[in-house]
Amino acid sequence: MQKTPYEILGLSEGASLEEIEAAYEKLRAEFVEKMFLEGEAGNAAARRVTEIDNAYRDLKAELESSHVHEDSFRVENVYDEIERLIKAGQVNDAQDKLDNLAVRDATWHYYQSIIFYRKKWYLDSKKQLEMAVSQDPDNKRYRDALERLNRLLNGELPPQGGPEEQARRQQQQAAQAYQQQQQMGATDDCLSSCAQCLMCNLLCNCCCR
Amino acid sequence: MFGYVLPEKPHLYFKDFDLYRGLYCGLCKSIGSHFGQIPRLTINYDVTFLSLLLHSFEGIDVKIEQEHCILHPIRKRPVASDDPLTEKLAAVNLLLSWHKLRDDVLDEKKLVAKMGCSALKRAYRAAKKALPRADEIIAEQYEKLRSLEKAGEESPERAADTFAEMMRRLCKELASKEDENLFDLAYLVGKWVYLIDALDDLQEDFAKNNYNPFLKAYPNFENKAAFLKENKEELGFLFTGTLTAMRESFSKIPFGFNTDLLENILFRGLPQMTKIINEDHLCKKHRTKF
Repeated sequence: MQKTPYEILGLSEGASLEEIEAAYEKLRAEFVEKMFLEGEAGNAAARRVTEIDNAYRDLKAELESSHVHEDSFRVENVYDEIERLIKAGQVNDAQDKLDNLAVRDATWHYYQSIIFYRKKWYLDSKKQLEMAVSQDPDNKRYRDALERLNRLLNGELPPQGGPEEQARRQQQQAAQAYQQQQQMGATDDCLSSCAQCLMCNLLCNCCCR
Repeated sequence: MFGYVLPEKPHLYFKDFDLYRGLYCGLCKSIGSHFGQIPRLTINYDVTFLSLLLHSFEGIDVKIEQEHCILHPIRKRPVASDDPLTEKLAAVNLLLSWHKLRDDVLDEKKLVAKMGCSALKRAYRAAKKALPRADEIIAEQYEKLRSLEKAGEESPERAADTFAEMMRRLCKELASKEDENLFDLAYLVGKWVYLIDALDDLQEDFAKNNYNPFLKAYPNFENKAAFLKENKEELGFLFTGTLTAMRESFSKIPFGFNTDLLENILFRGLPQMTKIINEDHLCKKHRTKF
């Protein structure tokens, strides 16, 4: 079976450049020493050294080519990172990352509105979304989000969960319904005050005709 | 700041009226027995609401008995008996009142506030000893609020966040189990209280040149009626959004008891108060008393 460059160097996929270099140096030094053994052992070691050199060269070339694309994706990666942080509930970290961005375009205002929504600052969220829409009027995603938020005025909070969440909630409500029959503070006194009211009413009807 | 979280009388069941009165009076008596008679004057409806919320959430029933009280010496009234949760809330009541007064002293330097602070000093120290973390939370959040006010914060929601976060953290401190929806509800009620109070005090703050987040957010204030009319849509969105979110959070909390009273307060009482203050119908002294 063909070994992958990672396997040759004894690393897992996605190892960093530093890890690759460290593994390469260590492994190469080990087999270079063994190259001076006599007979087959020496030859085998020499073959391993060549294998290690090729693997290192291939991995390095691969990593370097991906770095070239990294800069252009950096801004998009930041928004992905912000979205990930928001979904993980780390709203303050997401806000910090957003604050560090210099360009305040429609996308920036859109993500700021999401963060404000999570913080329950609904009016501020709406204002940010309005700014996003005014800067990028053709963006359907922003328009739809603003429309959903406006429905708050009618008492409909945009749902955060999918169908499973809503089904789970219905089950939970059904389970609670039985528990909630019990009245807090129910004592005879409650009945007696009702009885008092009834008596008063009766007396008043008798006297004050 | 206190006195806005009230039930709506017309739709209140007798059983819930008694329960509400019982919790209020129970809290007052608890303050009296643990912290002295003078601090009883600081009893407020907001902490009564917290008492209702937490007793319901924790599944702790209250025993209501007919008792006399110093203000009502003739007819006995329903009073909820003391329990560990009520004792903690009595301490919270005191801490909140003391820090509010201190805030007034630092901001507006009111003489009444200064006198109040010194009258409550001893009781405050006892409450601080009973719940040191709660005291830290309240002190920290009021400090954050003061610095935002000094900087002239223009976003009402950001200003309200300090007070709302205080309610969330207090609720977290008092609850025996974690429930994010409960804490969210506490946050939203705190936010609502701060904003309603700010809106109610508009005229007074304008006259005295005090900080008010609405005056900062919407300059060109002439008089309250014109202001409310001009900014009706945005204010409407602000409060409706908060109330809707409260309904959402409330629906996800598992309560141990019947929630008629909680629902009356949250879904009738608060909207009614919002309407009153946004339309400036009744001035403070004519509002429903309990």
